[in-house]
Amino acid sequence: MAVQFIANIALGLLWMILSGAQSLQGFLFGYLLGMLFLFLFNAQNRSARFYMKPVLAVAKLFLIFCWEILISNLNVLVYVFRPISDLKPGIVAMDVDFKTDFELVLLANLITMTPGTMTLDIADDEKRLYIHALDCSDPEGLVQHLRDTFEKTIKEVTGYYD
Amino acid sequence: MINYLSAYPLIGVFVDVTTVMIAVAIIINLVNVARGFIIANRIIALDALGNQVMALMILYAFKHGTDHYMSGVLVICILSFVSLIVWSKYLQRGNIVYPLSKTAAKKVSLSQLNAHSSQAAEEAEEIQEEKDAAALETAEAEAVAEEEVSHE
Amino acid sequence: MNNVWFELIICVFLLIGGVFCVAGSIGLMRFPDIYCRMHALTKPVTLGAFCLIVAYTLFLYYAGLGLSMKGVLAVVFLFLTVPVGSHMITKSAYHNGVPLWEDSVIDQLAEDLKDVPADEHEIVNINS
Repeated sequence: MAVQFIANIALGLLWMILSGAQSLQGFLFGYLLGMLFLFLFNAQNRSARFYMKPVLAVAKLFLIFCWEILISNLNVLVYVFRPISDLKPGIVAMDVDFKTDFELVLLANLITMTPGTMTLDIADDEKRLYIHALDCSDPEGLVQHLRDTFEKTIKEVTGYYD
Repeated sequence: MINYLSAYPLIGVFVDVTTVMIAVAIIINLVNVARGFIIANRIIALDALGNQVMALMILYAFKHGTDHYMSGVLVICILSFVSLIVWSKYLQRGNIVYPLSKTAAKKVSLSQLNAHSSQAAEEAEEIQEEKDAAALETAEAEAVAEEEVSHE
Repeated sequence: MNNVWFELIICVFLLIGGVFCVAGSIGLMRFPDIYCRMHALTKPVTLGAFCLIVAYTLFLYYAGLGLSMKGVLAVVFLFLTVPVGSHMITKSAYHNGVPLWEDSVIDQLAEDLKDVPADEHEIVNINS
C-alpha cells in the first residue's frame, strides 16, 4: 500500500514536469490523474488494496463517531433531568469476531466514548464484550444498533468485506 | 498586562456567566466527594474535579490571550489519568506495586505478622531443638528406669 | 473584524460547555448506582471541555492572535485517556462486589460468571 502512495506522488511530479505547470495546482491535478489511473489498473493486482479505501473508511468512521457523540450527549442530558424511575440500566453481552487486538480495543473505546453505553469487561477468549447501558429496555435492538454502526465500519477499515 | 476581553464586551459577559456555572459545578462535586458512601464514588468525583479545573483554566486563558495555559491543561489531564489507574489498581488488589498471591491475601493472620522477622524464626528453632533434646533425655531416663525395675 | 455573528457563535459554544459541565455534576448527585454515575460524569464533562477549547481557538483567531495547535493536542489527549480510565474503574468496582441497582433489567455478566469457579475472581475486598 505504501508503494501505491509513492507511485501516486511520483505520477503527480511527472505531470508537473511534463506539462510545465510549476505550481501547486499542477501537482494536485497530476495527483488526481494518477489516482484515477491507479484505480483503473488495480484490477490486475489482487494482493494489494487500493489505498484510498482505508482512508475513506477512516473518514467515515470519524464522522459517524462525531454524530453519535452529539446525539447521545443530548440524550444523557434529558436523562439527568427526568425522574429516576425512567431509567432502566442493565448489562448486555455482545459477540464479536476480530482478527487483531487493535480492532477490539478500538471498538471498546468507541463504545465507551458514546454516552449511554460503556464496556465493562471482556471475556477471556476475547470473543465477547459486556456492555453496561443506561437504556436497556430492548437489549437485542441495542446490540444490533451497535453492530450496524460501529462494527461494520471498523471491518471496512481493515478489509473484511473486500 | 492587557485584558483582551475589554475590546469584546459581549464575549466578556458570557465568559463571566460560564465561570459562575463551572464554579457551581465544582461545589456540587465537592459535596459529592464528602457524601460518597463507598470508595469508588469518591474516586470518580475526584477525577471529574480535575476535568472541571481544566475547564476553568481554559476560561482564564480567554483574558490573557496566551497559549501557556494549554500546557497546564495537558499536564492536569495526564496526571489525573495516571492517578485514576493507580486508584483502580488499589481497588482491585489492596496494594499498588507488589501483588500478593490470591490465597495468601486471605490467610495472613496476626501471629504470622508477629513472627515475620528471620531472627524470631531462628530463636524459635533453637527453642524447639532444646525441647526435643530435653524430651529425648527424659525418655531415655524413663527407659533406663524401667529396665532396672524389670531386672529387679 | 467586528463581526457580530462570529461573536455569537463563540458565545453559544461557551454556554453549551458550561451547561454540560453543570449537568454532569447534577447527574452525579441524582443517579442511584455507581455505573450510571460514571456514565453521567465522564462524558458530558469531556464534551463540555471540548466545546470550551473550540470556543477558545475561535476566539484566538477572531482577535487576530493567530491559530494555535495546542488546543488540538489537548482534545486528542482528552479523548484518548478518559474512556480507558473510566473503563478501569468500573471493571475494578464490579469485581470488588459493588452491586447493581435493584431495578436493573438484565445482568448477563453475572449469569456468565456463575460457570467460572470462584477461585478465579477472588480479590481482596477493602470495603469490609
